[in-house]
Amino acid sequence: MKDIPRPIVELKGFRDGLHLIIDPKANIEEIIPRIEKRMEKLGDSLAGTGVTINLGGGSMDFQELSRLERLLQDTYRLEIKQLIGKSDDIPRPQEGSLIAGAPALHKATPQSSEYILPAEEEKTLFIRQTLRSGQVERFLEGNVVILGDVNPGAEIIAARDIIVLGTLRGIAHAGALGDITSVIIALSLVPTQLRIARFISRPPSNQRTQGDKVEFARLRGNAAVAVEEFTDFNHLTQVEPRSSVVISESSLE
Amino acid sequence: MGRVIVLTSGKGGVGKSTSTANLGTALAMLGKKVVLVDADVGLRNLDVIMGLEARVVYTSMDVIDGTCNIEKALVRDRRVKSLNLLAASQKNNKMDILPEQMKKICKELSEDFDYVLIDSPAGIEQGFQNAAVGAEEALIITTPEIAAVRDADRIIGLLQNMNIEKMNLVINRLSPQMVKAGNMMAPQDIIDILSIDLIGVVPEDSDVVVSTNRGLPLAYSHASYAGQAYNRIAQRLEGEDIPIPEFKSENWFGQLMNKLAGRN
Repeated sequence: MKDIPRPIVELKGFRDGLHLIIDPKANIEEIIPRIEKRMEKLGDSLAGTGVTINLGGGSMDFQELSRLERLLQDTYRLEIKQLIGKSDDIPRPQEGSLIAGAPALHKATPQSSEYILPAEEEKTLFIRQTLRSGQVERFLEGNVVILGDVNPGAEIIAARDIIVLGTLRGIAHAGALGDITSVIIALSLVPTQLRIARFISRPPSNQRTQGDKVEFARLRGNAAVAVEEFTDFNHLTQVEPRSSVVISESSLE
Repeated sequence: MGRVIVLTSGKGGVGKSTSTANLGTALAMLGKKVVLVDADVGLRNLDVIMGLEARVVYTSMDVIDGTCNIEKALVRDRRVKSLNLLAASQKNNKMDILPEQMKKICKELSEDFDYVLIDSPAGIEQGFQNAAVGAEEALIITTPEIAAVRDADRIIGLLQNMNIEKMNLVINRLSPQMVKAGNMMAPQDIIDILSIDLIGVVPEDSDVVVSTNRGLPLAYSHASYAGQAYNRIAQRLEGEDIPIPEFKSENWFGQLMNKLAGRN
């Protein structure tokens, strides 16, 4: 049988959903028109569908990923569920298995799995409203400050810190590009789930709310998301955690 | 120009149609000219709850098709003459009506009536969009259940995107005993999450089933708690200042459980 050359872009359905498989050798200028061609016939029919971007053994830089993300999300309204690509530093369960990153685990540089925004590029987005169920706010250029609540079913994703001047009941993902120093602060922290960099945690089901105390979440020992009472920024590195929460590393899920 | 209000909830079975029928009846009994619009095309039941099923000849679909004009399509209530119903077509589906057509109907009705109450279908798809597109304000109906509150929250977000700013909350099927015992979300817990104004709490009342089956809205009945709650909501819509009774848990454990409920 003759070898059929693999197309640059393939859209395939798998058990875990739709995969956009991209030839690792192709560059972004070839990839984008191929995606446009593939999507042309499908029109709006995939709007709202989750898609996994599979770069095979390849990788992309931040700019390329942003272009891809804009095309898929803004033009075709696909939801990017995860990104599978080559990574040198992220521990993998076994060779060939998928690195299922947290929803926005972007691989930025070949040296590191973390993309830390340079301080001068860091921006802060102010959201002056309550985020309600089904609303997702994704800001990959820096921090997010919410003057309102984040309700159950809402999601907030930031490249760096997330500060909620209200009650955080939904999902917050700080350090979504991999910055493990990111923190989440809320006037009342009763989240459905917290994510920092590639670590996902959920509160134990018997956890009691602190209610009137401002709390913050950060990674401790690079592995566990810990929730502590917030006193002041000088204490960020000193206080002991109130409770350790159940953790799972997203790449192992 | 009358007020065009959509009654919506996201989740099904929380009492949108029952609330539409009862509030409409209550407002009409206050002397207002009211028209109820069933926007649940394909699954109509507002006419049944109103006891008007046998009198429906034309539907909103016929108005859109040009088969008849809007006045001809309205069914007048038997008991309160200022109450009218525009029924939904049962043989069509929600995609057969375009938002612009719905908007036109609402606008036309608002010129002749004090209140246009639109009974929205469950869900967030075109049926809901059609129901909300012509409205200037909304009544969000929810029950004290986490799933219902979650869906109400989603709906509020969608309505805000449609530039409907004026929203009031109706909490339906509240059991004061269960709230007292700490086994049910209290109104304040629901308001904490939804952060919109509460306009009324309708207690759980088994007479509702009887009344919807008989096609006789409870708002007529002075003996029914639920019916009286709807009458008070109608008065509040009319701008009267009637305090809403407070329902809250009497034990700390219940209060804590309610707090936690907000999380998931």
